[in-house]
Amino acid sequence: MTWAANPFVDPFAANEFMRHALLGSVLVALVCAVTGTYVVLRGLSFVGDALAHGVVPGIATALLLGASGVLGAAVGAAVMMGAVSLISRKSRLSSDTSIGLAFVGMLALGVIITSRSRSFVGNITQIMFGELLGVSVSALWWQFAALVAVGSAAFVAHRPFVLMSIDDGLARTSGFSVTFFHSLMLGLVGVTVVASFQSVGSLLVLGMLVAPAASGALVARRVSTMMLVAAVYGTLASYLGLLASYHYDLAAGGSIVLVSVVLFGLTALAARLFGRPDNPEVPHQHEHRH
Amino acid sequence: MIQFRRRAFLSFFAFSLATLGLACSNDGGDATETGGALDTTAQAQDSDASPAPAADLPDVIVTHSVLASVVRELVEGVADVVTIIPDGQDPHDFEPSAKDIEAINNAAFVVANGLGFEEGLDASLEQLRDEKGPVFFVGEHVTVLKMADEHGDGDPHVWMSPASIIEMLPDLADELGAALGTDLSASLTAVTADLTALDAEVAAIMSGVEKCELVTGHDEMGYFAERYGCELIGAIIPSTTTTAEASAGGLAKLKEVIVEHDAKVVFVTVGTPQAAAAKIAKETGASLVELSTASMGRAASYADFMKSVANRIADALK
Repeated sequence: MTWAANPFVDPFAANEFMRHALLGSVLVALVCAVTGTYVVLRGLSFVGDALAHGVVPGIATALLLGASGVLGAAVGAAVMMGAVSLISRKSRLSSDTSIGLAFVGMLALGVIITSRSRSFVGNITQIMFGELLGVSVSALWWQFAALVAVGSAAFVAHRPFVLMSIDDGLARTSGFSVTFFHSLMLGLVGVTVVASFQSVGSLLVLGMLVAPAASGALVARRVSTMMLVAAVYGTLASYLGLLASYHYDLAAGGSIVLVSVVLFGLTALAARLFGRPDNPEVPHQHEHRH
Repeated sequence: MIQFRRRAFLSFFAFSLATLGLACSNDGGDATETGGALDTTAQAQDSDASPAPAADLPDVIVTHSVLASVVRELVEGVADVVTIIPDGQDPHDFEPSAKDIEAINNAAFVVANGLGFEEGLDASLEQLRDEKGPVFFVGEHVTVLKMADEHGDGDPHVWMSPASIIEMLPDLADELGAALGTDLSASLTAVTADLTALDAEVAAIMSGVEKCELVTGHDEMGYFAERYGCELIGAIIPSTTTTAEASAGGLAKLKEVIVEHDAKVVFVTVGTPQAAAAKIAKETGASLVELSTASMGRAASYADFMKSVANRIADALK
C-alpha cells in the first residue's frame, strides 16, 4: 500500500466506502450523544444493552421472511420493551431482573431462529457487530431521519428530561408525568438502536451510547454541554477508529467503540489530575430504581 | 440462622458431589444405536438425502454436503449417507444441535473435512477421535495447501479439487469398508475413474480462460486455483474462514489490487459480507458473481457441482 501525502485524509478521499462509513458512524454518534446522555444520567445502560440484544430475533425473523431488517428491529424492540414492563408489573421482580430475563430470552430466540434456517442471509455476528464498511445509502438516510426525530423529541422534552435526571420527584412536582416521559426516553433509546444497527451493529451501538456520554458526564456542568461533548467524542472516535481500521487492518465497528472507551479513560485521567467542576445539572452517578 | 447456613452448605455440597458422580459415570458408556430414529430427523434437514432407505442399511454421517456427495457414490447400496450441515448454510458458522451430536456419536462411521473447517463440530469430532471412534478426517489424507501468512492447519477447502478427493479415497475406502464390514475396492475403482474423467473435463473448461485471476469472498479457492492454473489475487476477507471480519485497510488494498489487475469480477459465496462486497464492486466497476463453493444447490452429484463451479468462473471471466 502506497503511503500517500496525507495518511489522515487520503483513506477517505480515495475511497467512497470510507466516506460512507464515516458519515454513518458520525450520524450514529450524534443520535447516541442525545440519547446516550440520558442513558448515562438515568442509569439506563442495562436497558440499552437489553434492547441491543432484544432486536436480534426481530431482525433475524425479518431477514428470513425477506422483509426489511429495520422493520424487524422495530418490532423486536417493541416486543422487548413490552415484555420488560409486563414482567416488572405483573410480578414482584425488580426491573433489573425483568430486563435480564427478557433480553436473554430474546437473544436465545434469535440464536434458535438463525440456527433453524437452512440458508440464513447473514449471521448473528453480522447483526450484532454490523457492517459499517458496507453501509448503504438508504441506511444513511434512515439514520439521518432518526437523528432528526430523536433530536426534535429530546428538544421538546428537554425540561422534563433534565428534571428527571436530577430527581423524579422534582419532575413530578413541576407537573410532568414521569411515567410518560420515562417511556418516551426508552422509546428514544429503542429508535436509536433500531436506526443504528445496520451500521455499527446492535451490540456496538451500546458502546456509542455509553462511552461518549460518560466522557461528557465527567467534564460538563449542564446537560446540553454534556450532549455536545458526547457528540464531539463520538465523532472523534468514528474518525480515529476508521483510520485505525484502515492503517492497522482492524475491524471497523470494534475499533470505533474501543477508541471511544479509551478516550473516556484519558478524560477520566485528565479530570482527576485537573480537578472537576461543580455540576448542578449533572449529578454524581448513583443507582436509580425504576 | 446458623442451622440454616449449615443445612444450606450441606445440601449444596451433596448436590455438587452427586452432579460430579453423574458426570464421571457417563463418560465412555454410550448406547450403541445405529441411527434409527435419528435417521428421519437428519434426513428431513437434508434435501439431497438418498431416497427412502432400503431395509436396514447402516448410516454414514458426513459433515457437509459436497463431501457427502462423494461418499454417497462410494457406498452406494451398502450404506445411507446422512449430512449434518444443511445444504446452503455456511459450514464455518454452523452450530450443531443436541440431535446432531447424538447422530455423530451413534453413527457407524463419520466422515469429516478436518483442518478446522467445521468449527462448530470440532469439539465433538475430536472427542470421537480420542475415544477411538470411527471418524475419518479428509484433511489428514491429502496434500494440504499451507497459507502464506497463516499459522493454522492450512487451507481446509480440499474438496475444490477432484485430485485431492482421488488422493484420499483409497484410505477412506479402506477404513469405511472395515467399519461397514464390506469390501469397497470395486466401488473405489469406479469412483476414481469417474473423478479422473471429471478432472480432465474441468481442466478443459478452464483451459478456455485466457488469464484466470480470481477475486473471492474469502480464501476458499486455493485448491481449485492450484489445480487449474488460476491466480488468487485477493479476497474480501483474507482468511480461510468466513468468521473473520473485513477491515477498512483490507478492503482498500483489495480495491487497489482489483484496479491494478483490471479484474472485472468478484466471486462471492455464502458468508461473504454482501454489503462490503457490493461497495467494492461499485467503486471499482467490477461485478459480483455468486459462486457456490460449499453447497450443492441444484447439483445432483459432485461432478455436476465441480463442472458448474468451473463453468461459472469460465463464463464470468470470458
